[in-house]
Amino acid sequence: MMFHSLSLYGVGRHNGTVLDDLGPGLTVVYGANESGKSTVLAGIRGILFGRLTMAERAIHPGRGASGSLVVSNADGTMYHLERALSRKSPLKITSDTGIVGAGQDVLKEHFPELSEVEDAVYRTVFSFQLAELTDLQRSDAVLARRMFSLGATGGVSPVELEAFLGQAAKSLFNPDRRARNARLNQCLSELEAVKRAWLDKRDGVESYERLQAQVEKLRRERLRAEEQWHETLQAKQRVQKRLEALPLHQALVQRMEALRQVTPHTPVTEEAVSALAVCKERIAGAQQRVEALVKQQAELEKRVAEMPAVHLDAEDVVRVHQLVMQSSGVLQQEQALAEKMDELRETERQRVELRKHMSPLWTDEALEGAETGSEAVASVQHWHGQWEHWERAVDALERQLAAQDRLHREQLQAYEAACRERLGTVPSVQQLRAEEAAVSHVLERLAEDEWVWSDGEREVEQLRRMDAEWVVLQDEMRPAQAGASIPLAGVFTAAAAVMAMIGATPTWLATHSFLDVGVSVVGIGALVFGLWWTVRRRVKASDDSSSAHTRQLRAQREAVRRALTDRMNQLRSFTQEEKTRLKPEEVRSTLRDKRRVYEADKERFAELVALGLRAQETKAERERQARELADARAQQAQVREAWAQWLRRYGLEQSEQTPASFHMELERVRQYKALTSRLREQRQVVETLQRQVESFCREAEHVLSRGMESVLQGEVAVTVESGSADWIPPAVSVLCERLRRAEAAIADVERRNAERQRMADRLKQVREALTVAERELRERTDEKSKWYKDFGVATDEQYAALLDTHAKVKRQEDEVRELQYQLYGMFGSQAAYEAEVSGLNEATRDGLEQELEACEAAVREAKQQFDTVTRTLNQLEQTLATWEDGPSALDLYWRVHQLEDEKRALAREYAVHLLALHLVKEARHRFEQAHRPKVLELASRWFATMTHGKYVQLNVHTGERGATDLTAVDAQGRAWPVLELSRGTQEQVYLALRLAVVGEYAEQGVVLPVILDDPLVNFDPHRLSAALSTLRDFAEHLQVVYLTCHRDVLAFAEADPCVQLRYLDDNDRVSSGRV
Amino acid sequence: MWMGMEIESEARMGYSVGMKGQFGGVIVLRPFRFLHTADIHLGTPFVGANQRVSEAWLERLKDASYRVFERIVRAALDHDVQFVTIAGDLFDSASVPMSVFFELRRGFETLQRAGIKVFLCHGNHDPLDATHPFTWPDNVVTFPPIPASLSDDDVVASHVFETAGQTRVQVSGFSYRSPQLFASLAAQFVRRPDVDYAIGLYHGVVGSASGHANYAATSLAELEKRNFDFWGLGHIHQAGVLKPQNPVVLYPGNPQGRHIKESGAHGVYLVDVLEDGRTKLQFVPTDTVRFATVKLALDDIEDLAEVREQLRDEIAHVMQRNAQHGGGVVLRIQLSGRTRLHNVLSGQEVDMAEALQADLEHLQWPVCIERVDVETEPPLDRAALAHSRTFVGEVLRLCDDYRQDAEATRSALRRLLQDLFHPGTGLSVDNWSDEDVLQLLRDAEMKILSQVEKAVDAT
Repeated sequence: MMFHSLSLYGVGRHNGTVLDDLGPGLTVVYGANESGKSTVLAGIRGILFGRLTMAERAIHPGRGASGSLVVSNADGTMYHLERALSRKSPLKITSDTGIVGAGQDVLKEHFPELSEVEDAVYRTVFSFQLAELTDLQRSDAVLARRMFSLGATGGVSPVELEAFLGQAAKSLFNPDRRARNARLNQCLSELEAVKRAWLDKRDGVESYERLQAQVEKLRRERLRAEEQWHETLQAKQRVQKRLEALPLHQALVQRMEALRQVTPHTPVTEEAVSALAVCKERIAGAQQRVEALVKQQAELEKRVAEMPAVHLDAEDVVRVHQLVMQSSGVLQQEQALAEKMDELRETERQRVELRKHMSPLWTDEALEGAETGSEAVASVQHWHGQWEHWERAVDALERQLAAQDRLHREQLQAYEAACRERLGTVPSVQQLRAEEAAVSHVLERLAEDEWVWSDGEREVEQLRRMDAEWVVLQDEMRPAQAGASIPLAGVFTAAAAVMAMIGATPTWLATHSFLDVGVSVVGIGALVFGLWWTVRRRVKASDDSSSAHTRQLRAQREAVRRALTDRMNQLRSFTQEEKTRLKPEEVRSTLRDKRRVYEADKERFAELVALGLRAQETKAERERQARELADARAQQAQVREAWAQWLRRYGLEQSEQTPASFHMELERVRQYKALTSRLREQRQVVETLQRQVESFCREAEHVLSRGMESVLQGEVAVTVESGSADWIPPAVSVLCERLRRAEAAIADVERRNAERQRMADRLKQVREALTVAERELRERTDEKSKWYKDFGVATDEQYAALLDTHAKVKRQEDEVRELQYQLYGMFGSQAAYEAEVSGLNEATRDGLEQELEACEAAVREAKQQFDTVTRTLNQLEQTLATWEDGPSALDLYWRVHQLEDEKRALAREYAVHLLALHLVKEARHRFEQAHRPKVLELASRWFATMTHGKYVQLNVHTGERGATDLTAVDAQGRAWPVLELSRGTQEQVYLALRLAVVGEYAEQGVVLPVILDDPLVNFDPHRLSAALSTLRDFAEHLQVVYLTCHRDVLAFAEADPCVQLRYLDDNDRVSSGRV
Repeated sequence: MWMGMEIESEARMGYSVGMKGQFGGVIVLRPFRFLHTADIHLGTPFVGANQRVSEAWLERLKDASYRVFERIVRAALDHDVQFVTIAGDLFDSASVPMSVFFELRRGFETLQRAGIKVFLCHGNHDPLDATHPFTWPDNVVTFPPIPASLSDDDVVASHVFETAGQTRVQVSGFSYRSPQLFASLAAQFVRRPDVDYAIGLYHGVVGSASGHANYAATSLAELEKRNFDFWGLGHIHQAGVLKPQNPVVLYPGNPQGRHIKESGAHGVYLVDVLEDGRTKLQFVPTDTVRFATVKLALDDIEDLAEVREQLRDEIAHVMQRNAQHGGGVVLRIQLSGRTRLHNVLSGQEVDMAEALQADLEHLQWPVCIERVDVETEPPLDRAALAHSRTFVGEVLRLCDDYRQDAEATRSALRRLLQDLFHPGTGLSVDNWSDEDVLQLLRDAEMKILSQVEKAVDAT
């Protein structure tokens, strides 16, 4: 591949073709800092491989950033490579014949050398900058592998791979048998143990079947012995039962015989006896009930007779209840009445007390008459207000007047003191004001003199301002003088000249005589006049067409002109003699001193005048307030006169009352009237309450005295006496108490009446029950007679004898049945007993005892046999259980095979790892043999060239852990670790290594352009020259582009005709050729 | 319920026409039925399938192994056979647990009670020298071994008996005295002239059989020359009818597959000899656990979820194929192909097997994942790499060199593995076939490429 041109758009500072006409050999591209050299490098990398590093991305901020390369392949076919650099996009490849395709794969099809070079390798080996120069051994896996593949550096990746495989294999199996962590070691250990356990189990199990058969046989034998033992036991139990049952059986036979001899002579059944007993019980019960009812009846009749009925009038009863319910309310009313009475009496007392303190003016009629009172009240209120107002006004004015007197005295004293202190005398204010006016006049004159003796600055300033106003006026006039061609340029030029001259005046005046000043002023005046004249003529020429605005402007111009003339005249008024005699500076200084003195005098006079004026103002104010006081006192006298007349009107001239005291009297009158009104209301309330309580009392008296008289028998009667307030409280409370007692009495009467009624009802029920009980007694008596007739007895004694006979037979039957049940229980059932009856009838006790002894012997024998077999069986079963404990032989056998499988699988895995490890090691050995020396030889050669033979060789050694040891051998044969060399020498080493790698690639047919971004800046001129010469030689059959900003490199390129030179200028285009 | 396929033989026994006489040229035999089996390998543990299975599946596998003879006995009883022939390898080895012998004896006794004879040959797995001294019931006829120094006059033992239909049947066979027997014994089988139907029991290789030891190797032609009607073979574990007629020659296969290579249905053959001399074969499955391999190429798959889905589909397909079986299926998953998932899957075989097993248990499928073999390759262009001048290219070229010379690889392995592969551990490199060695080499190469690819991914 060879680059022919590079174009970058929107990349960094480039926006167009950056490099062109590139060819084989060394090309130096010179550009200043910030001219985009690094961007060129990043652009080439980005176009070729798409991916940009973080640093490179910072160079491509533009969204539409793109780049293109024109390259040729080994056949000389030209291709155009284009890629958008701002995002991930495929590479577009076109040729002269059209679009070839897109993507890295297509690129590699047309440039197979790129298939051999990974992105990282190209970035580090074929295109690099200073910062990347010593970065050859960085821990980039791809690069490290690639570099190793070229023999340029140590084999980091293969050694890592070896370490990984070795570790993995060791985790599977460790030849050291003591190692327990390896999986295969564990498996083998377990296999050995399990196999041993299984063999133990298997070897001992041969007798297992025989043992099992023995156990089975013994189990059967034990079963048989157990059955035999049970049979003998059962036989023995049968004999034992017979022996035990024999006495009972014999007794039973005897009882049955005796029973047969007792013949019952009367047909007495249990049911009949029971029925008769029931009948008798019922007769007895009926008799008891009749007796009890008769007794109860008599008692009830007696009690009913003792309780007479009392009649209550229902309406009266209801009324009593209602009154009792009202009583609590009436009692409250009574309480309220007492309270109201107290309040009424208190009000009356207050009114009498108030009346005592009132003047005789207020008669009872007057107090009752509202109209007279109202008029007096209104009059007194009016005069009270007037009196109070003027009293307060006179008092306030008198205080103010006294204060003004004090103030005036103080001000007058201050004025006189100030005058004496500053003037030595006390003139009047008018005299002071005249003095002040005179000083002001002198000051004005001094100001004029000072102005006259000024240096002309103010005039110049005035003239400048006037000129500026004049120019403005001209500008404003120009639209009004449309069509008029005023040679304003000339005017303005003249004015400018005048202004320039005038602008220099201050300094000029300071350095020239008055004559020169005068001449100059005259000149200036002539110029200004000329200017004025020219303008006036032009303006006059346009008067015909001027407007009112123009006229106004002209008036202003005239005013300016007049002012200007006055100033010029004033200047001209000084005679030459005066200008010669007097020195302006001295005059101005004198005048300024004088003015300061007069200004001080003026200030002093002004202060004294102010003091005098303030005293005069205070005096005038005092006089005004004295007039107001006199007026107030006149008003006060009028009010007093009017009050005296009012007193006379009401005949109170002797009372010496004032409106204030009368105002208090009126207040008492109002209180008196209010008390009178309240007293009236309270009386109405008391009367109402009295009426309600009296009504209640009368009704209560009526009910208690008349309505309930018969019931209450007069004990709660009461007499109500009306007409006196004193009777009420006791009467009401007594009445209420009596009403409550009446209510209780009513309740008692009602209770007694209810009790009597209940007893009457009970008596009726008893009488009915007595009738029923008597009827039942008769019926049961008839039934008993019938039963006796059936039993054939007539009396109770006969019936008792009959029952005794019957009970005796019954007892005998029970005894027989009891014996039968005992025997049934002994033999288990009736049938079993009946089966034994014949044998028992014939058996004897001795015979049975002999039979029992024989059975016991048989049982002992069978039991002994069973125990023997059981013991033996237990022993054998225990032996069997011992065998069956733990994992079975089958389980162990299975486990052995499991572990065998696992062992084989792990062993195979181990073999895979070891074989892989072996392959890696052997491949590495082969590889190092095939590649490393060649690259190192090339690198050593370039390194020796660059160091002028100081160093002659480079060596690389790869340690067991993959560490790379790069050394440089000097001419004396000493090996130096590269990291211990100087920086410049280290950079030479890595440059030589890169050249060697590139050369190795080239020999393999991988020919790619090399781009260097100023990597030699740390070289001294000597080394730089050597390195550049080396690069030039190296680039003899390759394309090397060297981007630099250094003059030394530029000088080298200019001096060497074999080196092409390009300039990276500001126009985004490299200029070719050499300077 | 016993299911099976039927293979009907149209064979006619020409020689028996003369012997039995004929009516209008039609051979007349009293039909009878017998059961032929071989390679029962009682007590065999399942190879490879029992390392990481659950307890339930372990019990199931044990049951399948130890109760296979019980199922054969049941098949014989259910189908009312008159005798049973066993062509060798009844036991897996002489060291099987004693309970296996007891179980076997109970089976023989059951057959005895049903009046069924058993003709038994011992094979290379259960040679007579190593077998436990155990007495079988009277209905069991054990063929003796042939003399150690074999001569042309020696013949194998034959038993002639009459079936219930009074058909005279000759059963001939031999037992292995020791585990190794390489000479062909076909010539020692001689048909007796007075029998209606001759059966030869032969434990060995007939024709070529890769993957099996070449014991007592003979050819089909040799057997045909012996004028036997039926050759019941043993030793090859895959069922197959070598010749359906004149005579019938078949391997019944083992009645229960033992490992993943013995996949498919396994059972016994019911042989019906009909009146007209034809032989009707019926295969009766006796396996309760079947082995199967699911192979999945992941060339176009880059998503694990898709791998799971496809595996489920494949397993469902296997289940469908074995739907009538009713038993469990032990599966081996083989993942292959060049995929980006290689680095994800590589080294995760156990985890993946457990995950799949959990998945299938959730579905309640009677499937046991025996193993997952990740034989995928990283997405590298091996050919290009092998031609590159890179280190990996050097490795691949070295692998290719070894691949060309299996013996050199084996020697290297012997040297590398001498610490582990020795008689003390029972491991030997020589037990690996050339294919095994090449596969080992391939795995080692993959191991290296995986690491290379991982390194590339990491960058």
